Amino acid sequence: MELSVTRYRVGQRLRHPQFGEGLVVEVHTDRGREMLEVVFDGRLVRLSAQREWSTVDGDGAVPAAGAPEGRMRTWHPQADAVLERWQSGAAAPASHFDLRATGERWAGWAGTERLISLESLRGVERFAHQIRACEKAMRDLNGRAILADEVGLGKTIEAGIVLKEYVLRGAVRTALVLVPASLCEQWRAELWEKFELDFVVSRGPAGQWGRHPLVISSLETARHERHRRRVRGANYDLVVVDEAHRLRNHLTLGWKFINDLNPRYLLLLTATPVQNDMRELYNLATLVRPGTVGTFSQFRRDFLTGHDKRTPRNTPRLRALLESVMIRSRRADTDLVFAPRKVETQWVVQTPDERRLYREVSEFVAEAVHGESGSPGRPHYFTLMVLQKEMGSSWAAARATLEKLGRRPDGLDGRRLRRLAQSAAEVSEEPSKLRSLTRCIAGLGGEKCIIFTQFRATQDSIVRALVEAGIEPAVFHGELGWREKEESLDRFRGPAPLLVSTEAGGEGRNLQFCRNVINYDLPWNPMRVEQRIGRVHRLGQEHPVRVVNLVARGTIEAYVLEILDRKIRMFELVVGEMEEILGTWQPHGSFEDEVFKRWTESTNPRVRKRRFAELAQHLVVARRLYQQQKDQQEWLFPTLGTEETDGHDDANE
Amino acid sequence: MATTTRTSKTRPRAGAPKGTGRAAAGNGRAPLGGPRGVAPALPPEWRQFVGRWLEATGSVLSEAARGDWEVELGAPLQRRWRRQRVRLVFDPLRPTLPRGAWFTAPGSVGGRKILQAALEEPLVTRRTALAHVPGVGDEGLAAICRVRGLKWGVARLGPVRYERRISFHAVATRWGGLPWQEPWVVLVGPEGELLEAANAQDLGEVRVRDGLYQIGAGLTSEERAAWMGSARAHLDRLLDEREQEWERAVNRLRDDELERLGAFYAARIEEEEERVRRRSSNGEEGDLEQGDDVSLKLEWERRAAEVRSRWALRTEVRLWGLTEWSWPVADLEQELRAGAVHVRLKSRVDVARGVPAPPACPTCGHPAEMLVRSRGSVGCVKCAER
Repeated sequence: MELSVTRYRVGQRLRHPQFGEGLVVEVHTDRGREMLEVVFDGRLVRLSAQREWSTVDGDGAVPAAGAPEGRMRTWHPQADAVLERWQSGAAAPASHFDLRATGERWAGWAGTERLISLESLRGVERFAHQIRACEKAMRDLNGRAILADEVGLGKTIEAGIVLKEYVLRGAVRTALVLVPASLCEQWRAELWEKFELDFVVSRGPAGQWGRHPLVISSLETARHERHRRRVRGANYDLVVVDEAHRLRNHLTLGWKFINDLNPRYLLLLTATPVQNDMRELYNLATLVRPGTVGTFSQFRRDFLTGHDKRTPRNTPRLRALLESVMIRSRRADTDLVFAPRKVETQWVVQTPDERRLYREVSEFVAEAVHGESGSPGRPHYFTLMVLQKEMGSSWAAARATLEKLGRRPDGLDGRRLRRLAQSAAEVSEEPSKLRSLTRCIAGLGGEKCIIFTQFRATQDSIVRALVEAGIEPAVFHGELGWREKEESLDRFRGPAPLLVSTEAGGEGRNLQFCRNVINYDLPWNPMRVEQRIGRVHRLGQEHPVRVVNLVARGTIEAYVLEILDRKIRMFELVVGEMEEILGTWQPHGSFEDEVFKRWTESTNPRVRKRRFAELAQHLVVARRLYQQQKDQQEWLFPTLGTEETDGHDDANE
Repeated sequence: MATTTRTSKTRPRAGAPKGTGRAAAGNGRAPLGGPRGVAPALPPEWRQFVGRWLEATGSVLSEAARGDWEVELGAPLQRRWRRQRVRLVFDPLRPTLPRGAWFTAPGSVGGRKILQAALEEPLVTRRTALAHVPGVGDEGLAAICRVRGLKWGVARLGPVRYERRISFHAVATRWGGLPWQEPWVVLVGPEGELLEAANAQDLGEVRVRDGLYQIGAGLTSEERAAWMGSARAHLDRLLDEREQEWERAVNRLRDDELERLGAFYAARIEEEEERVRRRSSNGEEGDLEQGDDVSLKLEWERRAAEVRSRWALRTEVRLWGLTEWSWPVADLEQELRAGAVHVRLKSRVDVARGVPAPPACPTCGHPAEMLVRSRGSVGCVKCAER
């Protein structure tokens, strides 16, 4: 029989007696013979089109509706157990049966109209935009989506809800969460505390791939040559990538790794899917759903103009296409309003002795850091950095470190250290900062207030001073057991007007009943500052929040505050935006390292001022860049709850 | 007998929050800005269920601080969980739990442990459906069968007798797309016929009491197996219908996805081949960003297989219990008149619900919902049209 080549089409599925079912990926003519290229389970085979191969289905896609061979139905062994029990003549009282029916009702879920995971979240407030996003991700996008909410709207929570929902419905048994290395622990803790999902962080040469069903890892670890094959072999049902803007470049190992992994469900979390080039958006969309915006040639032809990589055209169409891969909630669409913040700086007037000692210890720290800059491992670097921070906190804290170093100088100038420790002991008798604190508390008019410090020694000195002043504060720190922590917070909710707290262990605590925060010392890391304020300044806070920073002039904290408050106006940003700005800047090392480096490398106040001004300038540029990205995304991306297009479309045609 | 299908019962809805702690209660002031998030609270019915089930297993419950429960576990649960007591926390706002305590919500680890234990054993029970009074309304068959050109006479209800019926309770879980689940209960009659099917955990609208009333002889094991076989066949048929509905709904989505993939990879392969042709004609070096056409073809197949597997329908049916019923039934006779025509119709009444079955058409014998006079006789609408 003469067969025409049109009998087979690309995309059709064939059944081969030896190789099984395969996908026709090419139909072409080779030396006058019509040939088919068919992929059978990862193997490319060339077949003659002259032969009659049986097709699996007419259109090359799926079995026809109602064809029983397309389905699989199994009976749970409980059916046999029911029969056995019935045969044995055993019968339970009707009340047991009713109880069981109620249990079945609680264990089951009716359909897709309701998220069953919501009832099992702990310490998570449910916001409508988050629930909408999760429903869309699962129902409309089939679990493959870019979650691109504006910062602070809870992308992590959305990912957690989707993950939990799939786990509860039995659709996901194995999951991999890829996050920046520094956030692995935080994610692990959050997924356990809020969602009761027992993830392990994969570390070390062996990793946890395939050994534990729920794994957290950094993208760098997972895609490492040593692990790559095992990660792929683990065959994860769901992969979540946090800070997915790291996958914007398709030439990176990260992008290729995720593309190769191709899990059933894929969630990419980023507030900034595009930074410089529309190709970045193309790459992310292709990762989630290949073909959504065509091949790159088609994308360039349809949506880009000439060499302009940043500005798309045909935005309404592009936006419509992006709706099938992206979910974005904007603050403006959510009706969420944060209470206003009022930030004050209370300058601490140091005594001449304190000023002199601060200068001397700073000089010592700078010299010591430089002295060991060439030595391997820099054994004292971290201790010296902590000492510098402690001076900004309290002399009581700095004194302890100075004494410890003095006892075991280990290459440092022991005599000088002991002298400095002696001076610290003298000035810590009556520190000027505590006087400023008591003045500040007196100005609160009896309102509740949280006093934050980074150090336990400082916390003790504050508590002592308050007790002497007749105030019994509640105390909270990471060394307390859970019961003590609860009691302490209960006291603060009740009679205690003040809570003196370190940062440790307090995240996620609901302290919105208080609206005043005093930063007794200022962390150099802006994220820490944000976390402190975030304890009271969160959705649900009903009163304007007052933040008081206690800082002495000429200290490193004063420079940090100058940058954060006056240059980039951090306190006006919403939660999460600072992280995005720091991410845009991308310094080498952490912000803290950068601050400490500039401080110790500056030989005099003039140089110091210049170097910190440079740092501020970097951040100002980063903030501007962030704002530009935000504006661009505002009109390009589809948003939840706003279907209609806005005026920007016409302007960009 | 008629087969009826009812829609599912909704799961108990959250009532007033209970035991959610002070933080959840707030201070009663209006929020400053827009709406705040919904403070999570567990439905009180859930707590009630946990308490009843634990007590049924011989556990002793006592109230603890902050609305928690301290549970002295019964012996079987002690063995199962290898502990003597457990503290249950129901407050979703509690950020930290006491050591060893379980946060107990339907989907939490603690809640799932409880549900797993509660649902492990299959259950068989015996019940009697109580008779509805009156057994049937005065109008008799007129309530369920309309007439045209005819008039119903007086309904005569025969003596009530009890027959054995079995209800089978199952849960069907469907994977493919977003997985979903539906409860099923089927009521099977003495001949193995399907009397009722509903998407629910149990049969509603029936007053019951424990034990089998007026049913003496027990069933042989063959009879039981046959009854079970019929139930499974009925469930299979019902699920077939559901699966066909489901497939009709998702086929288009799956085909669209495969078509999009096909178009994308076919275009990419073509572009790649074109690029290779141009490169070989002008001797350019390869571009790192492009994959070769073979790897694109393999990737295409891999992704298409993944899409098919994502949408592939897989159903699991878990039959978790059955109820042997003693069910009251009675015969009903009622005359239909039109001039000289007198037709005596018979039907069977489900006395537990007080509902008669539709009478058989005197002409064709099929259950009729409407009877008319046609060419000197009585028949259903279809018979009249013929």
